Amino acid sequence: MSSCKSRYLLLLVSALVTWGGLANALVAGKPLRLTFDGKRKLSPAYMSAGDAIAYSVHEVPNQVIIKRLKLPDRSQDVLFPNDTAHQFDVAFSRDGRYWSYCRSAGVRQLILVVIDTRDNNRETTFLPSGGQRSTVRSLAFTPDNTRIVFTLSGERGLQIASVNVGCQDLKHITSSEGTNYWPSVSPDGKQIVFSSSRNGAYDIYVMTANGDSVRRLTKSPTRDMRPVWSPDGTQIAFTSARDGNYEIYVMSADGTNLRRATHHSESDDFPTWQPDGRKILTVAQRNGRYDLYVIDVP
Amino acid sequence: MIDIGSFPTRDCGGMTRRSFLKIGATLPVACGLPGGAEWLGAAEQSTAKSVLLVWLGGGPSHLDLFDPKPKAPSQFRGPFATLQTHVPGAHFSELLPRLAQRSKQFSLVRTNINHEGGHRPASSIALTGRQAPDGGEDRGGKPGQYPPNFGSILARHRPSSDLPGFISLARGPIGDGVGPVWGHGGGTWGKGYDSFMLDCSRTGQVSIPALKLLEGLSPLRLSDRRAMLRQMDRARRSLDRSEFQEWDEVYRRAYSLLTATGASQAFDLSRESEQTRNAYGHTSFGQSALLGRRLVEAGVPYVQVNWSQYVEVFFPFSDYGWDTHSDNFGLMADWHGPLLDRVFATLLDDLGDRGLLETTLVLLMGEFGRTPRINNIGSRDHWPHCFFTVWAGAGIQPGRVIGQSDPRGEHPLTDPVTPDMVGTTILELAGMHTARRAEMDVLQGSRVIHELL
Repeated sequence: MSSCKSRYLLLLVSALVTWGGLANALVAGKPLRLTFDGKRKLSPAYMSAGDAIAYSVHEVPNQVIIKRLKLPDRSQDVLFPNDTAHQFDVAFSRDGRYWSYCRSAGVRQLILVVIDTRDNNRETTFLPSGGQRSTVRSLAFTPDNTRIVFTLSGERGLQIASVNVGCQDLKHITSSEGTNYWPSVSPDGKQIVFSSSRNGAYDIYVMTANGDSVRRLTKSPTRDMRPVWSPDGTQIAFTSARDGNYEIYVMSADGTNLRRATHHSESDDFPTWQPDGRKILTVAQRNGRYDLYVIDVP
Repeated sequence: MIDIGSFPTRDCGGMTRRSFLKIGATLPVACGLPGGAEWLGAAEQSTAKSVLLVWLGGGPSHLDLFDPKPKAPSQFRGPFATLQTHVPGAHFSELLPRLAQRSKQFSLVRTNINHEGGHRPASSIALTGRQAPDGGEDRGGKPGQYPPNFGSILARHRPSSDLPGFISLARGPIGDGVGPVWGHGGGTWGKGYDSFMLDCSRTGQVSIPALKLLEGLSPLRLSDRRAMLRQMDRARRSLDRSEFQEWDEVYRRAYSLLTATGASQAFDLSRESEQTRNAYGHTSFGQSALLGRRLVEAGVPYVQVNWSQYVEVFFPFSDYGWDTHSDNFGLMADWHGPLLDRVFATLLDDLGDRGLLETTLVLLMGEFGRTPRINNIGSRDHWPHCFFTVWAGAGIQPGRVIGQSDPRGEHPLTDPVTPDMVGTTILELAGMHTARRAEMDVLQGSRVIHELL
């Protein structure tokens, strides 16, 4: 067996052990709370081995950092302890090689940071053009681990773009009116789902990976945002304010079969599929506190 | 900074923690000041016993909050839908569903203007009503040239007994990365009329940023004068003469404050029910708003609840202010909109439930709005030519929308509301009528926003 296959087998076993443990801990229909500090959390992401979750958190009033929650023992550590800047929107390549996030680089700018964990943690950065205040947000790797798709606040407005993992070869994917945000790449790499205000408030659209054939999937009077593909590519989870506050919804990848996953007077946001596709990770506000929860897929 | 003590508070889980107090140069001293004793009875004649200003430093986007323009071209309107309110003709952004439901509880001015476009001078003007004669922060001016802050004026007009007359809730002096806002204090009256600054953490721990009391000196032990003197002797030995003189004066006032029963009770959020603390949310801004309500309840004439210390969002030191030059729409959806909606709606409910809204003037504002035209990186910049203020409580007729902006939200179509009109309205409702303002030589020649009354 090649070393590559061995690595994937190890990842698969690790993920199955982790999901098995989580499944045992879950009572059917009842959200599983993973954190308890109540601090403001943003953009959780499963690490590629599936045994940990990374997320941004307002650790202290003047710093947002990325922490790692290790699922087997629920211990936590700081993912980038030497970085004193604000850190947002962590993402991991499917093969686990590349870690990326958005770093505050002063003068209100967020830059893209990519770390190659198989090259002595070599760090490359992408500085968006468009002046000091331009930013990169909302990162998503392509499934072939070669590119990062993101929201680029640059000289063309707020659009979807991508660079390769060496932070080179910038490609603009959208160029529409309004703003385009929160891209997620389909598991086969052929499509990107995202939110756009091109027709008014944020709704969810899908397009080919190069930006062609844009189709609208939702038409809500209020914002639909943060769409994410399920691991098998058949469903899309997203956050919507259509019922008065942020709730998690799931629909088929073609926009049909809409179901509501959460029902609470406080917010449920930042949906992220568990790697096996059986549960959804969220940041939920309960009693005024923000924590990570795992919920059922409706 | 000099360590001079700490006091225990309980967090929302009932745990005992230590809140450290620090002593330093920016001592809050708007308490026990001269020149106002004869006016102690003025509060009884006024409509507003207290003023509670919720300050959104950095410039909140008026188009994305209280003055949306859904029919404007896409390069103006932004990505947010609008919500119907209970006030005919008034729509809010979809980011404010709770406030839209409560639109009958407050009134909205949509035609505020400021005379400067930089954060610090615009903030100073918004908080004092006037420009500095020497140009202010961005034009080569010097500190101490602005007229006194509205809070300093009211604190002098109506000194309170135990508690400072002007309390500002923030982690430190408010400002931007360049420096503090000079108008957030006594101005030409001197630093003796600056605000008393308190910091409230997300867990409800209250500390005085400018003070750090002697280690181990709790409020209970503060009443033990011998213990205090021992601590002071130790501190004195570590200081030179000038440092000690400053520290001694600071300490005297802090000691007076912290040993006052009313003060220690007002600062203690653990006296609130879990339900109330949850409703405000466990963020620094949410718990600060709750502390603001407690201070109003305790009789503090002027309280300023600050969203953040710094206006900036993404600076390495910054604490998520409203200066959303970058990523305005992501930030508004992720954080600023929902948090503001929750906290301010809860504050209005809480004040109303306790009968405090009748005697408290509540004002929500920043120094300016943001550019209606979306900038070339898909965000919004400073815009002092048209923005909003929200008014509620004592003397305010709720459910009104004052003024109208043009179809793109760029300029007022009706009479603009100037910063000195804001200040004049605050002071008038707090019982400082024309004669008294003239006597104190403050905010003369302007008018009340009578449309609110």
